Amino acid sequence: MSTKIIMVTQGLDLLSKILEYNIRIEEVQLKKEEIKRKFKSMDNSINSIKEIEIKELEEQSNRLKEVLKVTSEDIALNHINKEKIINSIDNLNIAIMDSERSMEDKQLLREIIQIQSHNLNILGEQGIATLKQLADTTQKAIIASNEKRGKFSIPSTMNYIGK
Amino acid sequence: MSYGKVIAIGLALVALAWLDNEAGEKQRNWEEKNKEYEDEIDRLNNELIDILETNNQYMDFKELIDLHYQSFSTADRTKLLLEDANTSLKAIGQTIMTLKENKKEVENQIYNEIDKNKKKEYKEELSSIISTRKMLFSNQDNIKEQRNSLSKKLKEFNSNTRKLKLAIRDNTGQKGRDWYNRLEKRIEQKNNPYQEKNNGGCFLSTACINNIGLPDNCYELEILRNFRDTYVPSLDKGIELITDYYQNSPKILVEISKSKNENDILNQMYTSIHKIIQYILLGENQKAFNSYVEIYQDLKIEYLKG
Repeated sequence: MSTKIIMVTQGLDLLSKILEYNIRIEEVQLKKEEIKRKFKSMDNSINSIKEIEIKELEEQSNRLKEVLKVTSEDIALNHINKEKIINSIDNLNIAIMDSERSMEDKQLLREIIQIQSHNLNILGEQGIATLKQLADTTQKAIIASNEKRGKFSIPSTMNYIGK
Repeated sequence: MSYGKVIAIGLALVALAWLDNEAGEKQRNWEEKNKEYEDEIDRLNNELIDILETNNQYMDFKELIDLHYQSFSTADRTKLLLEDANTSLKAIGQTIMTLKENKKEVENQIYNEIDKNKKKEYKEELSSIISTRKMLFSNQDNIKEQRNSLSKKLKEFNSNTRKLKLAIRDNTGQKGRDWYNRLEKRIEQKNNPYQEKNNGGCFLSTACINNIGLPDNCYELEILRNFRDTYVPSLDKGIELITDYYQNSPKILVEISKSKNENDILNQMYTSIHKIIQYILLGENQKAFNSYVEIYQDLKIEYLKG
Protein backbone atom coordinates (compact mmCIF):
# COMPACT_ATOMS: atom_id res chain seq x y z
CA MET A 1 0.00 0.00 0.00
CA SER A 2 2.75 2.44 0.97
CA THR A 3 4.74 1.60 -2.21
CA LYS A 4 1.66 2.54 -4.25
CA ILE A 5 1.35 5.84 -2.45
CA ILE A 6 5.03 6.61 -2.88
CA MET A 7 4.83 5.82 -6.58
CA VAL A 8 1.72 7.93 -7.07
CA THR A 9 3.26 10.80 -5.13
CA GLN A 10 6.44 10.53 -7.18
CA GLY A 11 4.40 10.45 -10.35
CA LEU A 12 2.42 13.51 -9.36
CA ASP A 13 5.57 15.29 -8.32
CA LEU A 14 7.19 14.60 -11.67
CA LEU A 15 4.04 15.66 -13.52
CA SER A 16 3.93 18.94 -11.60
CA LYS A 17 7.63 19.47 -12.39
CA ILE A 18 6.92 18.91 -16.10
CA LEU A 19 4.02 21.35 -15.92
CA GLU A 20 6.09 23.88 -14.03
CA TYR A 21 8.92 23.72 -16.59
CA ASN A 22 6.39 24.01 -19.38
CA ILE A 23 5.12 27.19 -17.76
CA ARG A 24 8.67 28.46 -17.19
CA ILE A 25 9.58 27.78 -20.82
CA GLU A 26 6.45 29.61 -21.91
CA GLU A 27 7.38 32.52 -19.62
CA VAL A 28 10.92 32.70 -20.95
CA GLN A 29 9.63 32.73 -24.49
CA LEU A 30 7.20 35.50 -23.64
CA LYS A 31 9.95 37.44 -21.90
CA LYS A 32 12.15 36.96 -24.96
CA GLU A 33 9.41 38.35 -27.20
CA GLU A 34 8.92 41.17 -24.73
CA ILE A 35 12.59 42.29 -24.75
CA LYS A 36 12.58 42.11 -28.54
CA ARG A 37 9.56 44.41 -28.56
CA LYS A 38 11.24 46.63 -26.00
CA PHE A 39 14.40 46.73 -28.10
CA LYS A 40 12.39 47.59 -31.21
CA SER A 41 10.62 50.38 -29.36
CA MET A 42 13.96 51.74 -28.04
CA ASP A 43 15.41 51.54 -31.50
CA ASN A 44 12.48 53.61 -32.75
CA SER A 45 12.94 56.12 -29.93
CA ILE A 46 16.63 56.40 -30.71
CA ASN A 47 15.79 57.02 -34.35
CA SER A 48 13.28 59.71 -33.36
CA ILE A 49 15.84 61.38 -31.07
CA LYS A 50 18.39 61.10 -33.84
CA GLU A 51 16.04 62.80 -36.30
CA ILE A 52 15.35 65.61 -33.83
CA GLU A 53 19.06 66.03 -33.16
CA ILE A 54 19.86 66.07 -36.87
CA LYS A 55 17.23 68.74 -37.39
CA GLU A 56 18.62 70.79 -34.49
CA LEU A 57 22.14 70.44 -35.83
CA GLU A 58 21.04 71.52 -39.28
CA GLU A 59 19.28 74.56 -37.84
CA GLN A 60 22.32 75.45 -35.76
CA SER A 61 24.56 74.92 -38.75
CA ASN A 62 22.37 77.14 -40.94
CA ARG A 63 22.36 79.87 -38.30
CA LEU A 64 26.15 79.73 -38.06
CA LYS A 65 26.53 79.74 -41.81
CA GLU A 66 24.22 82.74 -42.10
CA VAL A 67 26.35 84.67 -39.57
CA LEU A 68 29.50 83.58 -41.37
CA LYS A 69 28.05 84.67 -44.70
CA VAL A 70 26.98 88.13 -43.52
CA THR A 71 30.19 88.87 -41.62
CA SER A 72 32.34 87.49 -44.41
CA GLU A 73 30.63 89.87 -46.81
CA ASP A 74 31.29 92.74 -44.40
CA ILE A 75 34.92 91.78 -43.95
CA ALA A 76 35.40 91.32 -47.71
CA LEU A 77 33.90 94.78 -48.32
CA ASN A 78 36.04 96.23 -45.54
CA HIS A 79 39.12 94.67 -47.18
CA ILE A 80 38.19 96.06 -50.62
CA ASN A 81 37.66 99.54 -49.19
CA LYS A 82 41.00 99.42 -47.39
CA GLU A 83 42.71 98.31 -50.60
CA LYS A 84 41.23 101.32 -52.40
CA ILE A 85 42.37 103.70 -49.65
CA ILE A 86 45.87 102.18 -49.58
CA ASN A 87 46.11 102.58 -53.35
CA SER A 88 45.02 106.18 -53.07
CA ILE A 89 47.61 106.80 -50.30
CA ASP A 90 50.30 105.31 -52.57
CA ASN A 91 49.25 107.69 -55.35
CA LEU A 92 49.15 110.63 -52.94
CA ASN A 93 52.69 109.78 -51.85
CA ILE A 94 53.86 109.98 -55.46
CA ALA A 95 51.93 113.19 -56.04
CA ILE A 96 53.27 114.90 -52.94
CA MET A 97 56.86 114.29 -54.03
CA ASP A 98 56.20 116.06 -57.33
CA SER A 99 58.29 119.25 -57.14
CA GLU A 100 56.17 120.89 -59.85
CA ARG A 101 53.15 121.03 -57.56
CA SER A 102 52.25 124.23 -55.77
CA MET A 103 52.24 124.60 -52.00
CA GLU A 104 48.43 124.81 -52.01
CA ASP A 105 48.24 121.57 -53.96
CA LYS A 106 50.55 119.85 -51.53
CA GLN A 107 48.60 121.21 -48.59
CA LEU A 108 45.43 119.74 -50.11
CA LEU A 109 47.16 116.40 -50.73
CA ARG A 110 48.30 116.28 -47.10
CA GLU A 111 44.76 116.96 -45.95
CA ILE A 112 43.52 114.08 -48.12
CA ILE A 113 46.26 111.86 -46.68
CA GLN A 114 45.09 112.73 -43.16
CA ILE A 115 41.50 111.87 -44.06
CA GLN A 116 42.48 108.62 -45.77
CA SER A 117 44.74 107.56 -42.93
CA HIS A 118 41.94 108.29 -40.47
CA ASN A 119 39.58 106.22 -42.68
CA LEU A 120 42.02 103.32 -42.59
CA ASN A 121 41.98 103.51 -38.83
CA ILE A 122 38.16 103.54 -38.74
CA LEU A 123 37.89 100.67 -41.22
CA GLY A 124 40.33 98.73 -39.06
CA GLU A 125 38.08 99.27 -36.01
CA GLN A 126 35.01 98.28 -38.03
CA GLY A 127 36.72 95.14 -39.26
CA ILE A 128 37.59 94.17 -35.69
CA ALA A 129 34.00 94.82 -34.55
CA THR A 130 32.62 92.62 -37.34
CA LEU A 131 35.13 89.93 -36.54
CA LYS A 132 34.26 90.13 -32.84
CA GLN A 133 30.63 89.45 -33.72
CA LEU A 134 31.61 86.43 -35.79
CA ALA A 135 34.02 85.19 -33.13
CA ASP A 136 31.39 85.56 -30.39
CA THR A 137 28.91 83.47 -32.35
CA THR A 138 31.51 80.79 -33.02
CA GLN A 139 32.67 80.83 -29.42
CA LYS A 140 29.10 80.59 -28.09
CA ALA A 141 28.38 77.66 -30.40
CA ILE A 142 31.52 75.85 -29.24
CA ILE A 143 30.66 76.42 -25.56
CA ALA A 144 27.05 75.32 -26.12
CA SER A 145 28.26 72.23 -27.91
CA ASN A 146 30.64 71.35 -25.05
CA GLU A 147 27.91 71.89 -22.45
CA LYS A 148 25.46 69.76 -24.40
CA ARG A 149 28.05 67.05 -24.74
CA GLY A 150 28.42 67.08 -20.95
CA LYS A 151 24.73 67.17 -20.03
CA PHE A 152 22.87 65.56 -22.86
CA SER A 153 23.81 62.58 -24.84
CA ILE A 154 21.69 59.76 -26.18
CA PRO A 155 23.08 57.13 -23.78
CA SER A 156 22.37 59.28 -20.71
CA THR A 157 18.74 59.73 -21.75
CA MET A 158 18.02 56.08 -22.35
CA ASN A 159 17.91 53.11 -20.01
CA TYR A 160 19.31 49.99 -21.46
CA ILE A 161 17.23 46.84 -21.49
CA GLY A 162 17.57 45.37 -18.02
CA LYS A 163 17.76 41.72 -17.13
CA MET B 1 2.23 -11.27 -5.19
CA SER B 2 0.12 -12.04 -8.19
CA TYR B 3 1.46 -11.92 -11.71
CA GLY B 4 -0.89 -9.00 -12.50
CA LYS B 5 0.45 -6.92 -9.63
CA VAL B 6 4.03 -7.43 -10.73
CA ILE B 7 3.12 -6.21 -14.22
CA ALA B 8 1.31 -3.19 -12.75
CA ILE B 9 4.31 -2.26 -10.59
CA GLY B 10 6.60 -2.76 -13.58
CA LEU B 11 4.43 -0.50 -15.74
CA ALA B 12 4.24 2.06 -12.95
CA LEU B 13 8.05 2.05 -12.62
CA VAL B 14 8.40 2.45 -16.41
CA ALA B 15 5.91 5.35 -16.29
CA LEU B 16 7.81 6.95 -13.41
CA ALA B 17 11.11 6.55 -15.25
CA TRP B 18 9.54 8.12 -18.35
CA LEU B 19 8.12 10.96 -16.30
CA ASP B 20 11.46 11.46 -14.59
CA ASN B 21 13.21 11.51 -17.94
CA GLU B 22 10.58 13.90 -19.34
CA ALA B 23 10.91 16.22 -16.30
CA GLY B 24 14.71 16.24 -16.71
CA GLU B 25 14.30 16.97 -20.41
CA LYS B 26 11.95 19.87 -19.64
CA GLN B 27 14.34 21.21 -17.04
CA ARG B 28 17.25 21.13 -19.51
CA ASN B 29 15.01 22.68 -22.13
CA TRP B 30 14.06 25.45 -19.73
CA GLU B 31 17.70 26.00 -18.75
CA GLU B 32 18.64 26.24 -22.41
CA LYS B 33 15.80 28.66 -23.13
CA ASN B 34 16.76 30.71 -20.08
CA LYS B 35 20.36 30.82 -21.25
CA GLU B 36 19.19 31.86 -24.72
CA TYR B 37 17.10 34.56 -23.10
CA GLU B 38 20.05 35.86 -21.06
CA ASP B 39 22.27 35.78 -24.15
CA GLU B 40 19.60 37.58 -26.13
CA ILE B 41 19.47 40.34 -23.49
CA ASP B 42 23.23 40.70 -23.63
CA ARG B 43 23.19 40.72 -27.43
CA LEU B 44 20.42 43.32 -27.61
CA ASN B 45 22.05 45.46 -24.92
CA ASN B 46 25.32 45.38 -26.82
CA GLU B 47 23.51 46.14 -30.05
CA LEU B 48 21.77 49.05 -28.34
CA ILE B 49 25.05 50.37 -26.95
CA ASP B 50 26.56 50.09 -30.42
CA ILE B 51 23.63 51.97 -31.98
CA LEU B 52 23.79 54.68 -29.33
CA GLU B 53 27.54 55.00 -29.63
CA THR B 54 27.41 55.14 -33.42
CA ASN B 55 24.63 57.71 -33.30
CA ASN B 56 26.50 59.79 -30.78
CA GLN B 57 29.67 59.65 -32.82
CA TYR B 58 27.70 60.55 -35.94
CA MET B 59 26.09 63.55 -34.21
CA ASP B 60 29.38 64.66 -32.69
CA PHE B 61 31.12 64.32 -36.04
CA LYS B 62 28.46 66.39 -37.79
CA GLU B 63 28.44 69.09 -35.14
CA LEU B 64 32.17 69.26 -34.49
CA ILE B 65 33.07 69.33 -38.15
CA ASP B 66 30.67 72.21 -38.63
CA LEU B 67 32.13 74.09 -35.68
CA HIS B 68 35.63 73.31 -36.90
CA TYR B 69 34.80 74.78 -40.28
CA GLN B 70 33.27 77.83 -38.63
CA SER B 71 36.26 78.28 -36.33
CA PHE B 72 38.63 77.78 -39.24
CA SER B 73 36.76 80.36 -41.34
CA THR B 74 36.84 82.84 -38.47
CA ALA B 75 40.60 82.39 -38.20
CA ASP B 76 40.81 82.83 -41.97
CA ARG B 77 38.94 86.16 -41.80
CA THR B 78 41.15 87.26 -38.91
CA LYS B 79 44.17 86.51 -41.05
CA LEU B 80 42.77 88.69 -43.81
CA LEU B 81 42.21 91.60 -41.39
CA LEU B 82 45.69 91.06 -39.97
CA GLU B 83 47.17 91.26 -43.46
CA ASP B 84 45.12 94.42 -44.01
CA ALA B 85 46.55 95.94 -40.84
CA ASN B 86 50.08 95.15 -42.00
CA THR B 87 49.43 96.65 -45.45
CA SER B 88 47.88 99.74 -43.86
CA LEU B 89 50.90 100.15 -41.58
CA LYS B 90 53.19 99.81 -44.56
CA ALA B 91 51.26 102.48 -46.49
CA ILE B 92 51.20 104.87 -43.54
CA GLY B 93 54.87 104.19 -42.83
CA GLN B 94 55.70 104.99 -46.42
CA THR B 95 53.74 108.25 -46.19
CA ILE B 96 55.56 109.21 -42.99
CA MET B 97 58.85 108.66 -44.82
CA THR B 98 57.65 110.70 -47.80
CA LEU B 99 56.65 113.53 -45.50
CA LYS B 100 60.03 113.31 -43.77
CA GLU B 101 61.70 113.93 -47.14
CA ASN B 102 59.21 116.72 -47.73
CA LYS B 103 59.99 118.20 -44.35
CA LYS B 104 63.73 118.22 -45.09
CA GLU B 105 63.10 119.96 -48.42
CA VAL B 106 60.95 122.65 -46.81
CA GLU B 107 63.48 123.13 -43.98
CA ASN B 108 66.17 123.71 -46.62
CA GLN B 109 63.90 126.13 -48.42
CA ILE B 110 63.34 128.07 -45.17
CA TYR B 111 67.06 128.11 -44.52
CA ASN B 112 67.89 129.38 -48.00
CA GLU B 113 65.00 131.82 -48.41
CA ILE B 114 65.63 135.50 -47.87
CA ASP B 115 62.16 136.85 -48.65
CA LYS B 116 60.30 137.12 -45.34
CA ASN B 117 56.88 136.48 -46.81
CA LYS B 118 58.05 133.43 -48.65
CA LYS B 119 59.82 132.23 -45.53
CA LYS B 120 56.56 132.60 -43.63
CA GLU B 121 54.76 130.54 -46.27
CA TYR B 122 57.41 127.82 -46.01
CA LYS B 123 57.10 127.82 -42.25
CA GLU B 124 53.36 127.36 -42.53
CA GLU B 125 53.94 124.45 -44.89
CA LEU B 126 56.44 122.95 -42.47
CA SER B 127 53.95 123.22 -39.67
CA SER B 128 51.31 121.51 -41.84
CA ILE B 129 53.75 118.70 -42.66
CA ILE B 130 54.60 118.26 -38.98
CA SER B 131 50.94 118.15 -37.96
CA THR B 132 50.14 115.63 -40.74
CA ARG B 133 53.01 113.43 -39.60
CA LYS B 134 51.85 113.69 -36.02
CA MET B 135 48.40 112.53 -37.04
CA LEU B 136 49.88 109.72 -39.12
CA PHE B 137 51.99 108.56 -36.17
CA SER B 138 48.90 108.50 -34.01
CA ASN B 139 46.98 106.47 -36.62
CA GLN B 140 49.96 104.18 -36.99
CA ASP B 141 49.87 103.53 -33.24
CA ASN B 142 46.14 102.75 -33.39
CA ILE B 143 46.57 100.36 -36.28
CA LYS B 144 49.48 98.70 -34.48
CA GLU B 145 47.16 98.13 -31.54
CA GLN B 146 44.55 96.70 -33.91
CA ARG B 147 47.20 94.42 -35.38
CA ASN B 148 48.30 93.20 -31.96
CA SER B 149 44.73 92.49 -30.94
CA LEU B 150 44.09 90.65 -34.22
CA SER B 151 47.27 88.67 -33.80
CA LYS B 152 46.19 87.64 -30.31
CA LYS B 153 42.73 86.70 -31.61
CA LEU B 154 44.23 84.67 -34.43
CA LYS B 155 46.24 82.64 -31.94
CA GLU B 156 43.08 82.07 -29.90
CA PHE B 157 41.06 80.92 -32.95
CA ASN B 158 43.87 78.68 -34.12
CA SER B 159 44.02 77.09 -30.70
CA ASN B 160 40.21 76.56 -30.71
CA THR B 161 40.37 75.06 -34.17
CA ARG B 162 43.13 72.72 -33.04
CA LYS B 163 41.09 71.63 -30.00
CA LEU B 164 38.09 70.89 -32.21
CA LYS B 165 40.29 68.96 -34.60
CA LEU B 166 41.51 66.75 -31.76
CA ALA B 167 37.96 66.33 -30.42
CA ILE B 168 36.87 65.11 -33.87
CA ARG B 169 39.75 62.62 -33.89
CA ASP B 170 39.09 61.35 -30.37
CA ASN B 171 35.29 61.38 -30.07
CA THR B 172 33.77 60.54 -33.41
CA GLY B 173 34.98 57.05 -34.23
CA GLN B 174 36.61 55.88 -37.42
CA LYS B 175 35.02 58.61 -39.51
CA GLY B 176 36.67 61.25 -37.31
CA ARG B 177 40.02 59.48 -37.31
CA ASP B 178 39.96 59.25 -41.12
CA TRP B 179 39.07 62.93 -41.38
CA TYR B 180 41.91 63.86 -39.00
CA ASN B 181 44.47 61.75 -40.85
CA ARG B 182 43.44 63.25 -44.15
CA LEU B 183 43.84 66.74 -42.74
CA GLU B 184 47.24 65.94 -41.23
CA LYS B 185 48.35 64.46 -44.53
CA ARG B 186 47.19 67.64 -46.23
CA ILE B 187 49.25 69.77 -43.81
CA GLU B 188 52.26 67.56 -44.45
CA GLN B 189 51.77 67.98 -48.19
CA LYS B 190 51.44 71.72 -47.75
CA ASN B 191 54.88 71.73 -46.16
CA ASN B 192 56.19 69.68 -49.04
CA PRO B 193 55.00 71.27 -52.30
CA TYR B 194 56.68 68.64 -54.47
CA GLN B 195 54.63 65.88 -52.86
CA GLU B 196 51.52 68.06 -53.18
CA LYS B 197 52.02 68.28 -56.93
CA ASN B 198 52.34 64.55 -57.30
CA ASN B 199 50.23 63.06 -54.59
CA GLY B 200 46.87 63.96 -53.16
CA GLY B 201 46.57 67.52 -54.40
CA CYS B 202 43.47 69.31 -55.63
CA PHE B 203 44.28 68.11 -59.15
CA LEU B 204 41.76 69.89 -61.36
CA SER B 205 41.85 73.19 -59.49
CA THR B 206 45.66 73.13 -59.25
CA ALA B 207 45.95 72.50 -62.98
CA CYS B 208 43.70 75.34 -64.06
CA ILE B 209 44.91 77.79 -61.41
CA ASN B 210 48.55 77.02 -62.31
CA ASN B 211 47.59 77.50 -65.96
CA ILE B 212 46.81 81.16 -65.35
CA GLY B 213 50.15 81.60 -63.61
CA LEU B 214 49.26 81.40 -59.92
CA PRO B 215 51.51 79.35 -57.61
CA ASP B 216 50.57 76.13 -55.74
CA ASN B 217 50.35 77.96 -52.45
CA CYS B 218 48.10 80.76 -53.74
CA TYR B 219 45.17 81.93 -51.65
CA GLU B 220 42.60 80.46 -54.10
CA LEU B 221 44.03 76.95 -53.85
CA GLU B 222 44.31 77.19 -50.08
CA ILE B 223 40.60 78.07 -49.85
CA LEU B 224 39.63 75.14 -52.08
CA ARG B 225 41.85 72.69 -50.18
CA ASN B 226 40.51 73.75 -46.83
CA PHE B 227 36.98 73.50 -48.15
CA ARG B 228 37.70 69.99 -49.41
CA ASP B 229 39.34 68.87 -46.18
CA THR B 230 37.03 70.45 -43.66
CA TYR B 231 33.59 70.97 -45.18
CA VAL B 232 33.13 68.27 -47.83
CA PRO B 233 33.78 65.29 -45.48
CA SER B 234 30.89 66.43 -43.29
CA LEU B 235 28.42 65.93 -46.13
CA ASP B 236 26.61 62.71 -46.84
CA LYS B 237 28.68 60.86 -49.44
CA GLY B 238 31.33 63.60 -49.09
CA ILE B 239 34.13 61.14 -48.41
CA GLU B 240 32.92 58.88 -51.21
CA LEU B 241 33.06 61.79 -53.61
CA ILE B 242 36.58 62.76 -52.51
CA THR B 243 37.74 59.18 -53.09
CA ASP B 244 36.11 59.16 -56.51
CA TYR B 245 37.71 62.54 -57.27
CA TYR B 246 41.19 61.30 -56.39
CA GLN B 247 40.67 58.27 -58.56
CA ASN B 248 39.40 60.06 -61.65
CA SER B 249 40.71 63.62 -61.74
CA PRO B 250 44.30 62.64 -62.72
CA LYS B 251 42.81 60.61 -65.59
CA ILE B 252 40.69 63.59 -66.65
CA LEU B 253 43.79 65.80 -66.66
CA VAL B 254 45.67 63.30 -68.83
CA GLU B 255 42.78 63.39 -71.32
CA ILE B 256 42.64 67.20 -71.25
CA SER B 257 46.40 67.39 -71.85
CA LYS B 258 45.91 65.39 -75.06
CA SER B 259 43.53 68.04 -76.37
CA LYS B 260 44.72 70.80 -78.71
CA ASN B 261 42.63 73.29 -76.72
CA GLU B 262 44.12 72.37 -73.35
CA ASN B 263 44.76 76.01 -72.50
CA ASP B 264 41.22 77.13 -73.38
CA ILE B 265 39.66 74.24 -71.45
CA LEU B 266 41.72 75.02 -68.33
CA ASN B 267 40.96 78.74 -68.62
CA GLN B 268 37.25 78.01 -68.90
CA MET B 269 37.50 75.74 -65.87
CA TYR B 270 39.27 78.51 -63.97
CA THR B 271 36.31 80.84 -64.57
CA SER B 272 33.96 78.30 -62.98
CA ILE B 273 36.38 77.57 -60.13
CA HIS B 274 36.77 81.29 -59.46
CA LYS B 275 32.98 81.48 -58.96
CA ILE B 276 33.16 78.56 -56.54
CA ILE B 277 35.86 80.37 -54.52
CA GLN B 278 33.56 83.40 -54.32
CA TYR B 279 30.73 81.17 -53.01
CA ILE B 280 33.06 79.75 -50.34
CA LEU B 281 34.19 83.22 -49.31
CA LEU B 282 30.56 84.26 -48.99
CA GLY B 283 29.82 81.19 -46.88
CA GLU B 284 27.55 79.62 -49.52
CA ASN B 285 29.16 76.24 -49.04
CA GLN B 286 26.37 74.07 -50.39
CA LYS B 287 26.22 76.14 -53.57
CA ALA B 288 30.01 75.90 -53.90
CA PHE B 289 29.89 72.14 -53.39
CA ASN B 290 27.07 71.64 -55.92
CA SER B 291 28.90 73.70 -58.53
CA TYR B 292 32.12 71.73 -58.03
CA VAL B 293 30.29 68.40 -58.29
CA GLU B 294 28.58 69.62 -61.46
CA ILE B 295 31.90 70.60 -63.10
CA TYR B 296 33.50 67.32 -62.02
CA GLN B 297 30.63 65.17 -63.29
CA ASP B 298 30.59 67.04 -66.64
CA LEU B 299 34.33 66.46 -67.01
CA LYS B 300 33.92 62.79 -66.16
CA ILE B 301 31.21 62.41 -68.79
CA GLU B 302 33.22 64.26 -71.40
CA TYR B 303 36.68 62.78 -70.81
CA LEU B 304 36.07 59.43 -69.18
CA LYS B 305 32.79 58.68 -70.94
CA GLY B 306 30.85 58.60 -67.71
